[in-house]
Amino acid sequence: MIVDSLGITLLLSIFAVLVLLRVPITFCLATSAIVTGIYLNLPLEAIVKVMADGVMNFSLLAIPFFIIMGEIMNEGGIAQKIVNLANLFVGRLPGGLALVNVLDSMFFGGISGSAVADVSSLGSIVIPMMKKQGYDPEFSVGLTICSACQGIIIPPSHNMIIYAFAVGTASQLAGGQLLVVSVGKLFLGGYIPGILMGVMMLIISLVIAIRKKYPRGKGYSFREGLFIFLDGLLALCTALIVVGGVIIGIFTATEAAAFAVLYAFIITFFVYREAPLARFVKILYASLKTLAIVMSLIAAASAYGYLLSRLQVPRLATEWLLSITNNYYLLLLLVNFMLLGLGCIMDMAPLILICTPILFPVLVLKMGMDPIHFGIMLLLNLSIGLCTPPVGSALFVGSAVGKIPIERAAKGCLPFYISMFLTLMLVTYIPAITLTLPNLLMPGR
Amino acid sequence: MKIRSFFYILHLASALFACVCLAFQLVIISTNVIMRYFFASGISWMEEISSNVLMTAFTFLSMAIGVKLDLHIHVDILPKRSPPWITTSLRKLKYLILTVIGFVLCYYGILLILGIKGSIASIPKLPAFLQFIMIPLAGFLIFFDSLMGLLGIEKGDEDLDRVLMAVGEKK
Repeated sequence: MIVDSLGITLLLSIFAVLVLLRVPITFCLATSAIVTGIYLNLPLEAIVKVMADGVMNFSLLAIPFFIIMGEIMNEGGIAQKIVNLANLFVGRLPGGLALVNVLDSMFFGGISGSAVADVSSLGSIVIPMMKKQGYDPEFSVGLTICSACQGIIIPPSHNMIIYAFAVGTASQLAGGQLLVVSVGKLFLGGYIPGILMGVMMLIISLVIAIRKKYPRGKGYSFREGLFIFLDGLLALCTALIVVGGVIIGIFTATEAAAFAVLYAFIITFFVYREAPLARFVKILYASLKTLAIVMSLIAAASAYGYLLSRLQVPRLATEWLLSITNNYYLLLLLVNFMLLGLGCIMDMAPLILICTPILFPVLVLKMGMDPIHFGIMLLLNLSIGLCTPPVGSALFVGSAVGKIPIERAAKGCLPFYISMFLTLMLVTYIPAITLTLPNLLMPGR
Repeated sequence: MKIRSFFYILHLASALFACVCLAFQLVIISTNVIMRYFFASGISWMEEISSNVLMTAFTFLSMAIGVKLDLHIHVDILPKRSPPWITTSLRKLKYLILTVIGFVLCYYGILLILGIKGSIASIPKLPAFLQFIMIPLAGFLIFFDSLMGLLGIEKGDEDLDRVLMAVGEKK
């Protein structure tokens, strides 16, 4: 097979150079696709059409709905209710607020699926409370940032939908038939790794709290406790609708997300009544601003992926990676370090869209790794990138919310990087951590 | 002044239209689920309209909003204290690239529409070009905003975001 080296060089180098020159990633992808398209004598209408075709996918509709759901929850004061609920469970332990911080991220992540939303909404409540009770600002901010990354792994998460979409593209790019990854299985696969990461952070927080003699929280009467529990439970039901609906098979992921938005809308505007109905326009607009980033990336990555496939880059990448090592376990380690490095300099969604078509053929199609296992490993790797310098978005938001410089926030993250890395290694090398729940609850689907 | 007002209204209209597309999608998909489970029936055109027409509409319109508000993700690995001429040059380069992309989306989006203007989509029976109708508009908005940025001209429509984010805010 003839390899067009100049075409490949154009496609990859224009993208890399523009990324380094601070051009937005969406437009780096689009520009390199357009220039390579011109070189390959493709009509540019075809490139524009591929961009549009990339987003004409019914399962991708779950992404806007998850984003709207998160925005509704943010607007409706859900964060405070989640903090209260977590406080009810672990607030009385030593360093109660630190443990509350981890647990509320676990709950909130299950609703919003966004680490940045988690840091900004929960962080603005918990960080000032922790500082007031005498916790180190670095510890408070670092814990908030790192625990927020559970939100990416604990379902529902719109990044899982992006991954499922990228797998479909990747399998076609690799020249095979369309491979569909069950979103329900992906959701289930995220639970144990997410909870494992949370438990490790709880243990580290507890040890630090005992050593530094951080205070315990106040207790609640039975009546107060019951009220807080029921109040928080209403919000947690949103995640239950999505995950439960998809697993049982009542909904597709898109329908479940639409239904969950409807539920979140009703409890926010008619049950909690924390915001006037007119606020829904703002919610839609704020969602549109997030979608501007995600959906544009998907459109541009579709055009880029089309050219990657035309120039046989996934096949060449597979051959190159296997020439370094064909040992499965070493390859996993190599891929992990590569993703951790990339996660430090680039955001999550573009990396899912760029790396899946390249790594999926090697690890899944060639080495036989389970696509759900690969997906969760990929998301876990990239979620760590969200809280590492120099471009971790959760780190930036956390340092802004906690009002401390990035360097001090990163210092506070250090103990929790260890727990995240340990979780990553366990998830990578023990597939059962990811696959037990999906195989148990959705066998053969 | 009139041109600025025109673009302010165009941006506002496109943002509101994209919001309407999102809300409409939400309504038809939720209604379809309810109809399917309670009335054993569904909206036959729901999937095609929502994924083909509405999805492309708000994707490309939101892309233009992203350019206007500088929301798109970029990698920032240059030192914070780079000389001003470097940051200015990089900003101009970004605007130049965005201007070209805006032009491609606008011009080739129109060619794409003209190329399929006679075709009819299967379900429902609507012109197929509706799927791509918002691409030229988004391209035009990206082209205009980036060109203004490239030439360093103030557009005077910065409060658009503030106005929309403040809708329904408690006084």
